[in-house]
Amino acid sequence: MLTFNLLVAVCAAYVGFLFLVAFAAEKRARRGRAAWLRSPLVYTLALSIYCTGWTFYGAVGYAARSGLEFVTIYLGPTVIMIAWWALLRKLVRIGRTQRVTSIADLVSSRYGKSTALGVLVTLLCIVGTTPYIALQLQSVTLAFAVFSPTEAVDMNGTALWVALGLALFTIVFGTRNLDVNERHHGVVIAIAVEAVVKIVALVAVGAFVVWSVAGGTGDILRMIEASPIAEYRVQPERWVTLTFLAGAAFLCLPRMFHVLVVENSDERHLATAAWAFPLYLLLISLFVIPIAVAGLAVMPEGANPDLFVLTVPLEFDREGLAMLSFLGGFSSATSMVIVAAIALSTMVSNHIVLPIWLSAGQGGATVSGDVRNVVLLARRMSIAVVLGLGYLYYRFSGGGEALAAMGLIAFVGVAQILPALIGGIFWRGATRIGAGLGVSIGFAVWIYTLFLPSFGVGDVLSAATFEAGPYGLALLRPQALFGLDGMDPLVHAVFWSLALNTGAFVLGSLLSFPHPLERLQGATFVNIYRYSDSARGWGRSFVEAEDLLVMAQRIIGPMEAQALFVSVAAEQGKEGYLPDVTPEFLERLERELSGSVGAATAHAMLGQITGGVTVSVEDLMRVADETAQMMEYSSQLEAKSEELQRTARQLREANAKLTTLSIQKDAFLSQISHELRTPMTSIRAFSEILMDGDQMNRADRRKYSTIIHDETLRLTRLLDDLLDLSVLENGQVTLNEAPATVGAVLDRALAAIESRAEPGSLKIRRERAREDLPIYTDADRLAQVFINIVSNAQKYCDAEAPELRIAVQEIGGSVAVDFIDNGSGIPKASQALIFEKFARLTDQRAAGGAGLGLAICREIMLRLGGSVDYLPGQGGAAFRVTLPRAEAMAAQ
Amino acid sequence: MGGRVLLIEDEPNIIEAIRFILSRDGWAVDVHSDGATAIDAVARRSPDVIILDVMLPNRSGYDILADLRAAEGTRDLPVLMLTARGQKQDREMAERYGASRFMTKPFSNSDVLTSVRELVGS
Amino acid sequence: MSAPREPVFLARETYRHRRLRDAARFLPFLAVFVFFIPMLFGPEAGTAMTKVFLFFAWLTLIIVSFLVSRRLATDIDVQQGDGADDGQPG
Repeated sequence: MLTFNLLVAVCAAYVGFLFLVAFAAEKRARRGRAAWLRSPLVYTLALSIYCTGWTFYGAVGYAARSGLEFVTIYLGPTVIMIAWWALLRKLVRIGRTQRVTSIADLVSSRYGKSTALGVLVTLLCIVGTTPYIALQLQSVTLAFAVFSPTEAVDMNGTALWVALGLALFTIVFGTRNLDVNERHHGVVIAIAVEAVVKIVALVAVGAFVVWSVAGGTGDILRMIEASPIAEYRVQPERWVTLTFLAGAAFLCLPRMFHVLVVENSDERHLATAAWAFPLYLLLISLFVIPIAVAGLAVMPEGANPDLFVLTVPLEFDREGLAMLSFLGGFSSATSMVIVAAIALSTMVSNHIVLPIWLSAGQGGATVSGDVRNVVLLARRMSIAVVLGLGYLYYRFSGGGEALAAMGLIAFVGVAQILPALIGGIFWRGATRIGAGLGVSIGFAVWIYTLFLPSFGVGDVLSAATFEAGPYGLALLRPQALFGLDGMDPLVHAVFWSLALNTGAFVLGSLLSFPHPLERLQGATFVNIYRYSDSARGWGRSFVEAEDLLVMAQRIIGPMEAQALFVSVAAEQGKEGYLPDVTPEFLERLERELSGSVGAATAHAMLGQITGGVTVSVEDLMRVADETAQMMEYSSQLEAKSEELQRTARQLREANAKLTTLSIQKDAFLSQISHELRTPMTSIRAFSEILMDGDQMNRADRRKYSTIIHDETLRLTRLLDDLLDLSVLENGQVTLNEAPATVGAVLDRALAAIESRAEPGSLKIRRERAREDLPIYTDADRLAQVFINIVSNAQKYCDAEAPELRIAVQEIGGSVAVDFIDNGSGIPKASQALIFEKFARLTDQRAAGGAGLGLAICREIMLRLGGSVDYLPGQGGAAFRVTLPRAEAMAAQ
Repeated sequence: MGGRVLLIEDEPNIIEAIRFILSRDGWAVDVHSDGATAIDAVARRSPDVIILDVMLPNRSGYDILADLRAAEGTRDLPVLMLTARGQKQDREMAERYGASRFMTKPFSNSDVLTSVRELVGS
Repeated sequence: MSAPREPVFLARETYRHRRLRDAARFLPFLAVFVFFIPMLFGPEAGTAMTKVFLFFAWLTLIIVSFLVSRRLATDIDVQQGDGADDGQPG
């Protein structure tokens, strides 16, 4: 006999296994070997979270009560999947190009990045999903109870442990990082594994029933005809309503949208899922009727048909099969809860927590601190809250029939998003007002006609309300709205909620006038195949790229942000970290940010920095005017003008550089002259003084000869530097390259600085543990660069307690050594100049340099195959030295 | 001889040298090292002659000279220009801006002394 | 200003592909039609017979979807990112 404890042990082992699978997948993905993790097969299997614990156990019970009607739950999604070319492909394309993070985000983004709509859809999803999560907890606890008929199981305790375990799993793998694409490799792989477990389990039980309990297919068909199920006849209005409802829910359920759109990495996966997922559904439902028939035949009167999948194998003492079946149900319930919690927590944090935090935090993005931590914390707390709500709902609804009906009721709830969603992607005229009205009215009607009545007569709504309507208003009876009597309550609710919803949506859209951003987003979404790579929204503005970098670093992380800025700058034909702030760049940045914090929030954050410059009249004209559109998007023209713009920009920059260079060439000669003559002046003057100074005392004589001596040294140093630079520039230098580590070279450089006369008050902070990176380089030359940068910091860092942080990290195949001080940094205008010869930002004579140090550093790094750049946006002055890694060199 | 000299220069060693040469000859030497506030220094010290370097921190010697020549009280003040760049256009610039005399670094000590004497004597 | 530059008669291959996309758009309507047929069954049609019909129709749809989608997948490959499929069918 299977004991309860054994069951718990198996469950724990299974969950442990899932943790391992998810962990391994994350690890592989991090090493960039995620290809097979993202195959069409995994995508298809992940979609199977549509089949929850409710469908796994409940479908058989449904069939035992209402015959074939259960199959409509699978027919709806089949139709939607088959419609992938016209419908899903568009959703997925929109999802990817607009970096959509959830269904609330899609709706909010489509209707002008509206915060209010995001909140509304999020609330709707929470209300619709909480009972659904409760249902999953119930299915798991009921299944546990089946295995321990003798001992009384603490049902609430079991549900609590399951909820806690799921919260832990979801937090660990669902909020590991703030992926720009909001994709979770570990979670997806784990639910794909669970998908396999549940279909194997259900097919195994089905095969056992057909070929072992009955005598084969012919036999089982005869059994079906002989059973009470044979009496069932298709009821057209329920058949149509349920098929439609299932299809709508398949699109609108937060968890389905998450897997279908957000986790999709390739549109081509849809082509596979288009047939593979209907096949999965067919297999899942193939044996439902046989199991129901067998259950009704062999189980005692009054046995719960919802648990036939477990009890039938147990009745025949097939404990292994029963265990498999239990794991199947467990998988169905857990995978649904995990994905639903991730999807909901994303919505809650992006559409509720962050907007509140932003408006409360006086300037939000400009406040110091890492926004990512806030987002992650919000996600984690939301997950805990969502699961906690599910558990509480389970506790206080008391389980049972009321909860079992909850599956379909939740479907009707989330289906209220459908008109706004479909209207939003196919109808340009749909507006925010229309969508808001439609969704809220549908939401209200759903609550009144279906959700509240589901608690039973006399519970929330009194019997009198059911009979005669609220306050005796017969027209408002919850299950016979406007006198439409005698309908099936579910059909009634679907009819009225969606009819009023759609009506309000259409009418509201027709009568209201959208603001510019809505019109732009509308055009973008509806014509997504034409606009694929750009959502217009940012006019020209006068924001500094450096401010944007500071903000972006806090949201998507320093490395990602710097990589993004460098690549945009390179596309514009510029060098360095700061691209021109063009509308295109702002749009791209906003999309990247919205991948982390949602469209509305990203828009608001950028709005704060750019001073709310959004849509210019010019931009609007472009979209409104069809002719202009045709001209603009006639693709060759666009490509050409872009090419021209790029060339022009490059030319402009080259020209500016040439002009500067020619001025610099002149200045260079003057400079050399000046640098040589200044020490010579002192030398000549003092030697003349010494020559005719007989009456001079000993101390003066000593002082003046010391000056001559020092100035001679200065001259020598200058000549050394000039020679060094000239040798480096002409490429005549020989490098003594050998293996070394970054830490060792840093040690050597810092030792050299300490050994100098003036100790200096600069405090240096290092992280030795991260410096042990192998490089293959000329250690003397590299040390020279480090010495130069550190002594610059010593001279120019103007903080009260000057401090220099040296951070070593790997970026791509390179090693980056960052030197960041806490002074006031270098003004933007000078950042491009400091690497030029004799560039001086302050009175440098006192500091004793000729202004050649950084120019020499730049040449050295060029010879060593790396670079040295100024790194803006770090607080103080910051220099980044980049070197190739040792392996990369060896591989050449 | 004797009188007040204002030396506007920022290289400490050159200041030291010129101060030594002139004070040995009986001149009172004031020194100012910042370009931006040089005009104020002139007004405060009311020197008999100015020695002005071209390359100064914050403001060029030419600009200072232009201001001096534009103002009523200092229009005829003798100014000896010093430059370390020593190119032809520097001399031309100095003349155009109205320098009384122009010398290239490195200079001979006696030349400086002679120039200052002649400028005050004239 | 930009008249369609496509020839009036398309190459056979292109023509086939256009029709394939039409088929893909049409398929869901066929699915709805087929799935609603059981509503027309008379009282003599039992659960077993309805079930056999439904699953047979379902499987057929899956096979047709497989045949159509497999070839359309290569279309996405070629056209990812442009709007060629929104052009007027020739």
